[in-house]
This record gives sequence, structure tokens and C-alpha cells, in this order.
Amino acid sequence: MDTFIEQVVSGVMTGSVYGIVALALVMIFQSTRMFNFGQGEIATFTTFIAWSLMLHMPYALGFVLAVVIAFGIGAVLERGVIRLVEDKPAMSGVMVGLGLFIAFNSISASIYGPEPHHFEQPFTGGPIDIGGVTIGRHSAYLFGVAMLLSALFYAFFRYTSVGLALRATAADRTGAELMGVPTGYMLMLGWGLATAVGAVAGMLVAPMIVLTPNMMFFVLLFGFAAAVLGGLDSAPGAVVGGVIVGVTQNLVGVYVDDLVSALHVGSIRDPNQYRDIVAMGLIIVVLALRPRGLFGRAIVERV
Amino acid sequence: MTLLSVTDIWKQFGGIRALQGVGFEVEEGQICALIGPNGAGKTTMFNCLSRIYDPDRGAIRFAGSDLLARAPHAVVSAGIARTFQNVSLFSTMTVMENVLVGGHSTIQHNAVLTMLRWPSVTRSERAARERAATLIDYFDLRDVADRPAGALPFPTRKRVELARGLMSSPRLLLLDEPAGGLNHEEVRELGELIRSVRTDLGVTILLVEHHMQLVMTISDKVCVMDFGRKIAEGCPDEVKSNAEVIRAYLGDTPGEQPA
Repeated sequence: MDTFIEQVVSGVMTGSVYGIVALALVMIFQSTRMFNFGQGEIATFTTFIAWSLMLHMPYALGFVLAVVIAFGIGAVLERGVIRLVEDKPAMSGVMVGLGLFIAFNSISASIYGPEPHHFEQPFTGGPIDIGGVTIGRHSAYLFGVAMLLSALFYAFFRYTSVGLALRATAADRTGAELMGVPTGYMLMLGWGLATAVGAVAGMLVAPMIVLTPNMMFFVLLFGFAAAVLGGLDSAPGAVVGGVIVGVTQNLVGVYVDDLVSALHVGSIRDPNQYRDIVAMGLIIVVLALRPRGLFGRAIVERV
Repeated sequence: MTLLSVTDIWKQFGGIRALQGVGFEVEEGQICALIGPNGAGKTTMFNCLSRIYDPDRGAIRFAGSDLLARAPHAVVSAGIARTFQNVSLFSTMTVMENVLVGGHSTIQHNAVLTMLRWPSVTRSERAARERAATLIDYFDLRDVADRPAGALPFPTRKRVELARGLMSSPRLLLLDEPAGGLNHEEVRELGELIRSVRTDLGVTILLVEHHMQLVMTISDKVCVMDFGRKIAEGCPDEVKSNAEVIRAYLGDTPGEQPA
């Protein structure tokens, strides 16, 4: 039972990172109707920038500066690249997303090389014990940051005028423009914010795995799964979806072995390989039963 | 005082001349209707006023300033708001949120200051919420204020659209076929509502409308368009008896063949 609880708790923590990656994907999907496949690689690049900054300054300052730089990168990309394809067919957006993926992966690799870099952890020391469950210090920090970020975004979109204008732009761009919302500025802002969120995810993930140009590949994949699971138009759904994916992965990693031997269908050499398959399988099941995702709104169109 | 003055507007789409030198004026405080058979160019005219279209030629002056020099989103801050032919509310957002978006131009919206909850920002947001609440009461929407706009019956959504348009405290409200999709009784109520909006909120109204009864009961002035030209203007009674207007709507009658 202890193993179970520990696996669930650690799954929730890893999942919270998928959740904020999903949050960034949802923000971009909502405003520009495209999947930013480059999200993870841009986050990796900004994490490398943070790494460079942190050689010269304390963690907190480097963290904040990297977030600001990421915001700038997102805003410039929207103005310079995304705007060119925003009224083109969806496939153009897909190609641009993949292009960003390759471009930023190459930029990171060309500047920092393929070798692993050590990324600083702000809280070091042994694991902490909460009610009999041991949690790594970094996991607790990561979870706290992810939850705080989600709560701040929720409040921002729900209760502020700019958040409202961003949602209006996402819902109906022409309508919002005619209501006096400068929608071009809003799209730029949305991309900036999403890229900043991605940068936070990168800096939280880097100490857990090692910082390499490819580190975000699987994180993006699961963040993507989380976004689809939660429903692509729901920010809280993205975070919950992330947690579900994280917990599923962990539980499968631990129990798939027992399950297979109980069924007498042979043995498994590496149970971890199954975590990802099952996590992805879950998405297919959810989409088959509930295509709009767990929290998404059904789209009803008048014909 | 002339609030809106449209002079010699031309607009061509490919081979179609949608507007051919249209001009008219709207006085402050008037309810003015733009009517005409389908394809007369009424909606094109509206879209020029909203800056969705750039006219090929001509001038639009609003309250003495050049409207054509403004970006589409800056039309609202000039003092012109509009509603749409097919109600285009943000369907997943609540009624209150829809109305608040209409007031975006009145709020200080520096993104950084908004996130820091700067006092001047929260003050203007609070003022917007108060105005939204007043309008929601005025249009009798309090019971549905927190419901998603897409779930409401059509006539209610029309009232939400009016409230949203009025959120920016416009001097001129453009209504694009407000009576479309409403039944007889609902049209009558809408007519009364439009008149009281004019009186209570002191807003000038320009509408495009097919529903003749509505146009003739509420308008101070009617401009009739046909094939991209203005063929008549005047008070409802003058327009009703104008031979050119009758011809545009009913076609030539055998007895009145031009020589």
C-alpha cells in the first residue's frame, strides 16, 4: 500500500510538469488554432539560457530572467513567423510547428553540444517526509511551482480584463477586433506567455533528467497527451490531464510486472517500457469515449 | 449636429460594384435606417463603417475626425459600436464576460500592469464591472448573467449583444438587421427597446433592416439603397411614397413603363 501511495504521489508531481506543458500548448491552440510542436525545444533552449545565466548569478535571478527572455522569444516568433501562416490552412501551422521543433533543437545543439549539462536544483538535501510518504525536495518544489502557476493563470484568464480579451480573441478573432480588442497584440501576448510557461517547465524538468538538447522530447509528448486528455480548450483540464498521465505512467511502471506474471503470459524485461504505451493508450480510450476530452466543451455548430 | 457623414463611397469586389458613390449623414440623436433590397450594398456600407473593408474611394467622417484613418479595433474607441446580422457572441463565455469584452477599449490594458494588479488597472476594471452590471440590469439580463451566452434563446442573445455594444459608451450604435430571426411580438419589443436606448443612453443609432414595420415605426430618417446607390432619403412617410423606392421593391408596374 505504501508503494502505491508513494507512486501516486510521485506521479502527481511528475504529472504537474506535463500539466504546465499542456497549459502552454492549450494557450497557443486556443489563440492561434495550431499545435506548437516546437514548444518543448524552445523550452529546452531557454533552459540552456538559464543554465548560462546561472553560472553568473543566483538561481532565482537566472530563473526570472530566463522567463522574461522566453516571453520575448515567444512574442517575436508570433510577430515574425506565426503571423505569416495564421490564416493559411491548418497544415501550414503543423509544418511551422515542426520547423520550430527542428530549428530550436539545432540551435541548442549547435551552441551547447550534445553532452549532458548539470542544471542546478534550488533545494538540495534529503527527501522530506509528509505523513509517512517520502517526497524528494525537488519534486515538492516542482509541484508547488506548477500548482502556483496554474492557479495564477486561472485567475488571470478568469478575473482580469486582459485575460478576458485573450479569451475573446481565442473564441472569435474578428468579433473581438470589432469589440475594440487589439487582437494582433493579444496573439503576441498569448505566445509570449505560453513560451514563458514552457521555459518554467524546462527549468523544473532539467534537474530530474539531465539537460541535453533532446531533454523535452518525451515531456512534450506527454504534455501533448495531457492537453488532449483534458480537452484542448480547457486550461484546468490540461493540468488535471497532466496529473492523470503522470500517475498512470507510475502505476503501470510498478504494477505491470505483477499483472503479467499473474496472467501467466510470460515475463517482462523492462516494465518501464510499458508506462508510456499505457499512458498513450489511455488517451485513445478517452478520445474514443469522449472526443472533446475530459473537460472540453462540446462544439455545437448551427448548420 | 452632424455626427456621421459619409461622402461618395465606392467599393468594388472583382466585377461587382457593391457601392457606387454612396453618401448620407446622420444627425446626433437620430435613429436612421439604411434599407434596400438584397444586394443593395447595405452590409458592405456597414463593414466600411466598421473598417472591415477599405472603401476604394470616398470619405467617412465621424464627430469631425477621419474614421478611415483608424484601425478596426480603434473604431470602438472613436465612439462607434456595432451588433451583427448573425448574433456573434462569444458563446462559451458568460453573459457578464461578453458584456465586459465590449468595454475593453475603456479599460487600461497594459498587460504587465494588469498582471501586477496595478491600482489604476483594478480601478478601471471595477468601473467596467459596475457599468456592465448596470447594462445587464437595463436589458433585464440579471438572471442569466453567469450563464454561457451560447445557451440562451435567440431574442435574449440579441439583448446581450446590445448590452455588449453599449459597454463602450458609444455615441453611435450600428445595428445590423436587429429584427432578423425574431417573431412579430419580439420585433415590436425590440423597436421599443431601441427607442428607449436612444432616449435613456443618448446614443445615435444607424440600422440596416429588412423589417419595414420596424423601420417605419422607429426611424427619424430612412436612406434607401439599390444596386450600390442611394435612391432616396427622408422621413419614413416621404420614403414610402417615393416612386423610385416603390420601383426598387416591387419592380416596374406595366402602367408606369418609362417612356
